[in-house]
Amino acid sequence: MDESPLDVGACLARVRGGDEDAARQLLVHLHPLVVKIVRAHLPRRSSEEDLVQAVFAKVFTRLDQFRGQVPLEHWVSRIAVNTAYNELNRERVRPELRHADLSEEESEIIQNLAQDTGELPLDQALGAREIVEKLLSQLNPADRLVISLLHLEGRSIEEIHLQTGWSATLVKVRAFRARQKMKKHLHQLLREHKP
Amino acid sequence: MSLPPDSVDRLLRGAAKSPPRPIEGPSFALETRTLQTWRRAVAGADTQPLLQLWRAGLATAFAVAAVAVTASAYAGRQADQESTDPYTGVAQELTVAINTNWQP
Repeated sequence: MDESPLDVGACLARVRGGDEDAARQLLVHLHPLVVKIVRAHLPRRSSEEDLVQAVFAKVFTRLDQFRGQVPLEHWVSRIAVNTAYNELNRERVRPELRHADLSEEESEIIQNLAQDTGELPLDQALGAREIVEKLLSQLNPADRLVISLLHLEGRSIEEIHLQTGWSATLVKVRAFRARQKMKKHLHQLLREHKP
Repeated sequence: MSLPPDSVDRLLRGAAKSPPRPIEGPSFALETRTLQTWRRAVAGADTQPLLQLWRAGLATAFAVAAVAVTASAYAGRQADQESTDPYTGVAQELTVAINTNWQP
């Protein structure tokens, strides 16, 4: 199999000319990026495959609108983030998170957070991720999106501004408030744990 | 027991270290549906200029028809006005009178 990097510009030109092989190559090239974004912002009740499909449907029907002013990947990221955000907005009901919803490992991590001031060990990273996912499910879509982009994907404020259209100040304020809400939920979980 | 102020930040930093789940290539179903959507979009883009031309032609034909109907209506009204003009008949009668009385 040819492992050379895809010449996106040339491939796009071929896709616009109706070349189906080029369209397939572009899909394969963009797939990891789209899946990564969709996984980071997947609403609880949505299927990953369906959301990825929805993103690609938008990308391929709007390809003629891509002017090449930004890299294609940025343009696709924006579509993916917006699609996931709209899907999150549809998810109105957010059931309350209880301590009973946590696994034993997750409960232990929360105990560690309360007792220890050091960084979490690497072997607890997956558990921490699970807790974060559960805490994020309690937030509204905008707060959830900003935390995922800023802290889990490691995007800069500027990148988030470009992807969401929110001002840098708004991003910072939202992130701060979202962290406060997460802390409140975390505290509640810890309180529930106490006999 | 209370949480230290940076507990959420530590939790988020810990979560960010989690290894990403492996991403497999696009499934056959995804590929098929996406390419089908793309084909439809391409076909739509191809027929777009023809559709625009057809719309422009239709608009022109409608405008011409409207002008023709208006002109016809105007001409009809003019004819009606002429037929109700009291002097029109007199002039015709006079012409006839002159013509018929010209016999020596």
